[in-house]
Amino acid sequence: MPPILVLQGARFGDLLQSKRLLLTLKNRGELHLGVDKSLAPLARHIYPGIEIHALNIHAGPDRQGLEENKKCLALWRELDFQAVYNCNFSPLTTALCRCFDPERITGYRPSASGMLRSSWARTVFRMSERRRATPLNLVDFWAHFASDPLPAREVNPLPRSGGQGLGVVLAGREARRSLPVPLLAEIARCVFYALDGPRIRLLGSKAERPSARRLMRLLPSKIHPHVEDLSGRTDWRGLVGAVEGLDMLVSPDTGTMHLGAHLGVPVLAFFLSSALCHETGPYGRGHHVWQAACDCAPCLESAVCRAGLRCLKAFLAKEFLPALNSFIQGSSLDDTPFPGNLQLWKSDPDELGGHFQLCAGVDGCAQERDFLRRHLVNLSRLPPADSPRKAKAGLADPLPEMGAWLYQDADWMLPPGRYC
Amino acid sequence: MSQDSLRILVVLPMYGGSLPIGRYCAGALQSMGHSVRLFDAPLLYPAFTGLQRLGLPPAAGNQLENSFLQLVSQAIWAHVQALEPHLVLALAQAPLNRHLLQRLRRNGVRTAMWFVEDYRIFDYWRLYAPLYDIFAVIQKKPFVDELVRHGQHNVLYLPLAALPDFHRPVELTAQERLEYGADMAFLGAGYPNRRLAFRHLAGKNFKIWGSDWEGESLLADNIQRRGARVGEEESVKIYNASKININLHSSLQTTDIVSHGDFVNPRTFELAAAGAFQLVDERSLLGELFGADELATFTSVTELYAKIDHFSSRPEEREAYAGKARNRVLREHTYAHRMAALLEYIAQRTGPWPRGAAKADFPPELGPDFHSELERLTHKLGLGPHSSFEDVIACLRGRSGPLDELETSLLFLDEWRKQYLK
Repeated sequence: MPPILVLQGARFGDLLQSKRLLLTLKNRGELHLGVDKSLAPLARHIYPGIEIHALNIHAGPDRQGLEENKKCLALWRELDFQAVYNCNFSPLTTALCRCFDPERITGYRPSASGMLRSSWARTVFRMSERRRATPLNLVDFWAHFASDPLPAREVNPLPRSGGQGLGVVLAGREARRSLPVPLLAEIARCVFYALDGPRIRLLGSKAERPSARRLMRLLPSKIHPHVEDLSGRTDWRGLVGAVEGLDMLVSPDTGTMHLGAHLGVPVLAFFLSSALCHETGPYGRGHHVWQAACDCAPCLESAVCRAGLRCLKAFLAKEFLPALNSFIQGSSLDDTPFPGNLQLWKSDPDELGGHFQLCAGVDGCAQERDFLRRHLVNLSRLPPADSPRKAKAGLADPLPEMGAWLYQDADWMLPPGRYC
Repeated sequence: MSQDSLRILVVLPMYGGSLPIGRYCAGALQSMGHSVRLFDAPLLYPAFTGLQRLGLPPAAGNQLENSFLQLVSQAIWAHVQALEPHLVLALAQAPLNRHLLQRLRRNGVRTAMWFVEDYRIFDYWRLYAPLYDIFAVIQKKPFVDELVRHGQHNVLYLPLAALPDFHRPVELTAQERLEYGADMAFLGAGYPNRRLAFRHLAGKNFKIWGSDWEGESLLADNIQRRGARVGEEESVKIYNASKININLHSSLQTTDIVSHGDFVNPRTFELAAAGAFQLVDERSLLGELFGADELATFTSVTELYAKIDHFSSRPEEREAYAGKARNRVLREHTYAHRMAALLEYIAQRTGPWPRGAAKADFPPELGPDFHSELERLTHKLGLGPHSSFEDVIACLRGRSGPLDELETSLLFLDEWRKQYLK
């Protein structure tokens, strides 16, 4: 079969979120995946049957690194890929794509003046101008680089308890997107008792070891024997082993969270700051996300918070832990006071891809998100999603002006489907 | 790698005779080790001519033309922002509007115009000259005084020149000799004085190349390719293939066929650099550029015809003139000489070039192995030996089609450095 290359030069989480695209293409040709060298062992482990190419992308490309890249590029030229999927809106991977005929590249193409985006990418970028109503999971954004991608429900296994206890991811790369350790300790305690005292694995990098020690101090002493601190103690293979078979994984928006979803571990995620479950929530059916929903969320990762971390306050409200406890116990949330500025979502993929159903809280963007989602369904030429939520809520057809901002003069006047 | 390398944006006109000169300037600056970018305005010219062909009422058409030129200026500004050049060098008719020139001045970007036109014909210079930091011209008095009177005090007399790597003696194939060769040749537009002068040569082995010869029935058999434009590369072949190249400066007048003007046209230098023999009409500024034994000249059409007769049967005399003229050009009249003089003058009048802005050497990530590969690549790309890493990258970016692994790796390295080190 003619070879195909996917170039995913981003981080841990992005590698896992490329899964739907990769599984789709794996059925269409001999599939190759170019990743940063640091992620190559993980890529080989989680994507058997895909030829992995390690590139020096993020670490300084010293003389040896450049030589290695050059060898890899020489091999790529020999392989004569029929199609190349560049997943990153990044000058780095786009520069690497200069060794290919631009016409064979999907996603982001190099040009003399910089990077050109596909029509699909441009549309989704434009939608992200109204992020709160963002309708598309990143997994699906990439998956639809290919036509007719694998059904979303076939991407990750159904989550189920594997008997290996509770995993607690201490923090993500961005501190502001993670819950403070005392709150995390409360959540861990709450889940520990709800699951009848399972083993607890603390997961994180070496940088999280002080947090792990602090968490231990904050947990009741009788829980201590159940806790295994794996922060900074696992390589990629070890991390996969530590997550596989867990009964539940508690996490902020992290690569480990996506690994959990990939392995079929039930995810209980807490999203705040710049994290938005509709963009990067755990993929599959039956994961849960507690989402901060204050007016300023989601914010920009790079922007300084001038709202006094209002999104975190939603989790610190007195109603949060009782509501969490009721949820974990499986009790109805209808009778439990629910914190303001917080939403609880459950993942439930549809034809377009990853999708979340609101379980509790208020979603002021439902109508707009629904409209945008249908717009994307049309764009991707899929049959319209038959959303039970939509039927239940009895949503009217979107007003014409709702989508007016989606269109620009150039869409109407210049060739459709062009890269620009 | 020169420590005095400057980043220079050369803004080409959208069309016309100064267009190739802009490219020659860029080539010369590059060979001098400067980092040069071209604003390739001719790419936009079809859009401009398209507007004109829409058949709009004059008022609407004028408004649209102005809007279009504003857009072009915005594109130049975008280039300036990206490149942060030390100098913006514009050739006559370059599409920098007044607003942009004022903006460049406010932002401390030095600007120079090389006005390679006859100031008597193109009089728009009055409006634009004061807006440039430096105004280089191909004529002397009274133009220089006029410029001062209009507020431009930084005036440099900068005669035209040749690009020796391009305008050079070339070996022609038998086929090319047949196609381009003639006892006499003229290459240029059909100005009225030329039409009159050449009618006497109708029926002889005389080839006329170039455009704007419509309606010249007497010379119809002499006009090549029905007056189609001739590219610069072919021009060099024509110069090399012709025994006598007639170089008659243009004039709109028919009363005085030999106009006895002041400036010396580019063809004079180009023919000399190509080692071709030419008969050129006397110009007031010619004597300080070439000696009497370096160029054969004429002051009237009668003298032109007489000298054609004389030199037709004296190949050794033609060779002597051609050899001396070529040597003079190589010694004094190349575009590299002109650009060096211009940069020096700019520094004199507007202050020294910023030393701190000198370009860095090749990135340290490239070890010695890569250096030799890079040198080979530089050669392959047709860049000068002093070209910088930036030049190589700019050249690679501009290439179409897939790059090889070395080229791709270098582009990647450049992007990596921008992302992580800047």
